[in-house]
Amino acid sequence: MDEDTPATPDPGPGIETRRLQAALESRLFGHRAAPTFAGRFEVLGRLGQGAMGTVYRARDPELDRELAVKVLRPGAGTTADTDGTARLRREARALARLSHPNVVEVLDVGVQDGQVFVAMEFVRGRTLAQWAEATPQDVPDRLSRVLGFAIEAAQGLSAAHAADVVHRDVKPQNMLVGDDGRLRLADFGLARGTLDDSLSAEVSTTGGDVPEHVTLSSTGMVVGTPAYMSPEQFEGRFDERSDQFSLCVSFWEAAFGPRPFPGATVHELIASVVAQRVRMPSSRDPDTRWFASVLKRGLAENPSDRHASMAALAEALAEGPPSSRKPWLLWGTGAATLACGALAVAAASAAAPPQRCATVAEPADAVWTEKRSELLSAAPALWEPIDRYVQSWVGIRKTSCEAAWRNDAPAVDQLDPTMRCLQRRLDQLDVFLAAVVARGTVEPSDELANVVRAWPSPQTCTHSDAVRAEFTLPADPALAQQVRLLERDLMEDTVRETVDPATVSHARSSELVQRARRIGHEPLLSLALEHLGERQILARDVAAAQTLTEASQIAARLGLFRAAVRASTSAASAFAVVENRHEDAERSLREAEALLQRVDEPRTAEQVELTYVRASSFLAQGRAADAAESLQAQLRNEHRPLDEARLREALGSALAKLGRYDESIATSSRAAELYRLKLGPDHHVVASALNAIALVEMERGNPNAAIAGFTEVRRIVSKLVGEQHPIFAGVEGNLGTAYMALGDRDRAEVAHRHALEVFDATLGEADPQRSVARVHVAAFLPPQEAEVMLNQALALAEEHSGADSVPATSARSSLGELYLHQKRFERAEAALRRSLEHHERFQRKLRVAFDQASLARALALQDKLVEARPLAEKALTTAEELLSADAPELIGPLFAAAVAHRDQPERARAWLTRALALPNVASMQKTTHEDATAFLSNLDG
Amino acid sequence: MAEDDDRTLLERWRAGDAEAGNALFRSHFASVRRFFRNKVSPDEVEDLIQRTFVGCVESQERFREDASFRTFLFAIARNQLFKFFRSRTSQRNQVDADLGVSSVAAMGMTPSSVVAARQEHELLLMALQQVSVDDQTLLELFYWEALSGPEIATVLDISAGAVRVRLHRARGKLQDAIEKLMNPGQSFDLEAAAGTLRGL
Repeated sequence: MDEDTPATPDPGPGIETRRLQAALESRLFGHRAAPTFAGRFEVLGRLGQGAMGTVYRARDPELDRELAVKVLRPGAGTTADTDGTARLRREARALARLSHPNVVEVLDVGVQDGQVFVAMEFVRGRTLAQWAEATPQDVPDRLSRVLGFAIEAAQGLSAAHAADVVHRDVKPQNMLVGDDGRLRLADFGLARGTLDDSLSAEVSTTGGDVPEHVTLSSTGMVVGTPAYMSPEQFEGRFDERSDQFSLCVSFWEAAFGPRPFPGATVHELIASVVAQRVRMPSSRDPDTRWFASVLKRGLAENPSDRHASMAALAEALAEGPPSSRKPWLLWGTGAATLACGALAVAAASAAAPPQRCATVAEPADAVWTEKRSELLSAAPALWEPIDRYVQSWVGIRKTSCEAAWRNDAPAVDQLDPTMRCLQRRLDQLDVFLAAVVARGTVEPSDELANVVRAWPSPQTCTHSDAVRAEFTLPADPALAQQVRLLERDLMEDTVRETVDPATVSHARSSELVQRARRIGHEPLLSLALEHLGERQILARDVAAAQTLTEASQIAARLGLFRAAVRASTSAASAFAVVENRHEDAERSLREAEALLQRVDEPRTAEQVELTYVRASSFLAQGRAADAAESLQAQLRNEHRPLDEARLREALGSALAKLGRYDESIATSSRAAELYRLKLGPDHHVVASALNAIALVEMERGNPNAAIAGFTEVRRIVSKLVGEQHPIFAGVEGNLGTAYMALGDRDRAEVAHRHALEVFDATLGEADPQRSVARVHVAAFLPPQEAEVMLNQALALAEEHSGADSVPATSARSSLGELYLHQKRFERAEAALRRSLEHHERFQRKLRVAFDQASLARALALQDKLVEARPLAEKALTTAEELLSADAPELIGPLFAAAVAHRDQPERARAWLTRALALPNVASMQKTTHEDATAFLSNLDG
Repeated sequence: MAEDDDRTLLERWRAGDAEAGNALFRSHFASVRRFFRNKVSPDEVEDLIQRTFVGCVESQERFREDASFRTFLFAIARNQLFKFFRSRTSQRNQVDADLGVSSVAAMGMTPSSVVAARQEHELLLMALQQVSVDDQTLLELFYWEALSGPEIATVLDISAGAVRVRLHRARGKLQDAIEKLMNPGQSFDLEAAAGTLRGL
């Protein structure tokens, strides 16, 4: 049935119309309509539609085989357009001559009812676009499949170009992936238009989206798909290199997901291309990066910057990713050859000079396995310093490589150590990453980032003297090999320790030192000694200082000054912390400072460490003021957060010892904040810092703040080690004491009981904490049980810590109080005398006062008033000096004074009244309060 | 009369006479196809045409005695179009299918290819996709199918007076849309272009 008569000559219903009508009639009315033909081919069904026309499934009745027929839409080669048709036929003929496995075969071209059609090989399968969408990114080998397709596409296009045919519309929708796995290019040259220089492409857009096609002004013909079009195509210029551009965009998309150039509208897209704003794939896998770099070249704005030809691109792709090639690391030891492996390889392949050093980055790339990239992508704080390190490494490597090729190349004996140095720097990264992966997590990433930042920069490999000293190998090859092995083992040990301290063993460190001595290679010996010394410090081994001093001396002799500084500082730490030899510690520190002058910037890390060790030494000597001063001086400089935190923590400790509590808390709080920020709120270092602050709050007489602090510490500790752990019990104990100071007996009892429970469950008898905990709990028990508990405490303490130890004295003191309350004055006197003696010896003034007061009471109640009175007076004087006027603890000395002067009832009553009026005294000094009340009523009565 | 023929054919088709249906189909296939072609992608056209014709048979009550068959047919077509748009837009969470407001372009339903030999035709077709679907239908029915005012009113389910007003306004909107798409200095004859386009 014809359409209604139009104004232009009607060619009659087109193929699509007839096919559609026939199909509908068949569906609606059940009868088989007459078949539609395009030439001799019977049209069976629609396969799809593109901008150019419709593709049908068809049948060749003559040869009885299936094929595809593309019917071009009117305008894209109607018989009215004789030029266009002629051109099309010419091209079809060219393509028909071309028989290439990666190009869809053209079988025939003809005209049917005024419409041009092309008969093609029928490819069962799907487009590359469909394949890419259906294949998720995490399918293994996906990249290599895409690479395979890319090579096939490039080869097909290369063959077409050789036959003078340009595609013009390369895109994933135009590439067919057959069920047989082979890729074929389709729709060649069918997007034609007349392209004079005077024409410019006009873009028709719908809704602002990147459109499917672009039309030319005068002819209204489509000439490409903007998302894949090269910039010159937009201007109407086109050659084979435009196909290259489109191909690279297509495969970029297929491999990585998004297209390389961003842009929601055509204008944005063109701007991105001109500015070469490429969206690099995020993966750090070296194969991915290689693929991206090959494709990227084809995306250059200027066609001359792309690969020289489609064939060149195919070759570059076919060369394959780095992982498939043999390792290139060949460190030559002979003087005759250049030591650098890549240079040897480059010399063999006659690449153009700028490209000789192009492969230098590859060993660095090889460090990035998928597992490592994946793990690190979650931690930008760690990734950043590593990336910088790698960039620096590649930069130095490249410079060295290029220098070697120029005439001013350094002599081989200078180059070899540099290369070895670089190799070690890289190996260090490799071992580090392996250790991180083995650990399974990158947290806390800031700590690990600090480790990375502390590494010597790859830059140092160019400092010829130092490098030569450290990295020159012995001439004897067997010896050289041993050195290399030792170097690797030592480095593995050192790096693994920084990542996971638990994995390193003392024995192994010693063994490494022995090996170094046997070989006689001094640089490694120095490093091995340093490593061993660190382990010895942790083990509190007195040999540490000597080991580290030797390490420092050797390093200094070799001119490796940074290492010497490190070793000297550690030696100082060993002297101070392990042996309490503070003068020697100071001497080592001065040596370190002198050596530090000979080290290049940056020096801050070493300076921080120096200050820290010095301050620790001062504190251990009781020189808190000196410690505070040196720490404050160092804090005037800028520091990285974790370094600042460490310094502040130490400063807080020093200030607390000086009684400058407010300042101490301020600076320690800042340290805790920094730790929390960088290590996370649940890190043990944060807990330690908060604990220290809370203890200071207790000293300051601020139990509320202390409770808040201990509570947070408790939360963290519970999370880290659980509640059945002595550290947790320790925190509970602290909380108990704090609650007591606040007057909350109930909570205090719960805490102390819990602490005791856990201590008993997790510690051996010898641990003093079990004794101390008993003393605390006894305060909540009725007298008889309290006595039992306190005797237990005393027995434990005497047996394991000594009769005169702090826990023993504490137990005795409490027992004395108990006996006093029970009116067992003789026993009380005995216990209290011993306790007083201990406290006097250690100048615990307040404790002395309390013991004096209790003893005075005991004596007075035995009528030994002569001795009792002076004691009571001394006690009260001291207590009033040291305590504030309303401290509940004053009740003891006041009561003692009253008892000792009970023959002067007015005075006695005055003291007692005052004592009983003290705030919180009933709850905080329960038994004493009871006794004092009873005494007062006796007086009155 | 042709109109009687159509109605008779429909009755006979509804009674089970496939030949009658086939004849009716052949008469109106092209019109229905034109209706859908500029509004949906080619993959959908076949299905929608089928549904439209099937709809003729199945919807007994909608056929008012005083309306022409073509009107009836276009009304069903428009209904099918609306259902199609609604199902698609709800899937894609885009603009709600309100044919009186949204355009084909805005709903992202643009056919992937445009059938045009000359740029003017392409411009027209694209401009039509920019106005609301109802306005597009109105203009197309008016220009291509030569439906009368009252007939268009039936299809769009509005009054005849409203058709007059809307036609005037729709022409203006279309002109605006065309101007936006045109090159400066280019001229455009809507009547001529519409006329020739009909034949494609």
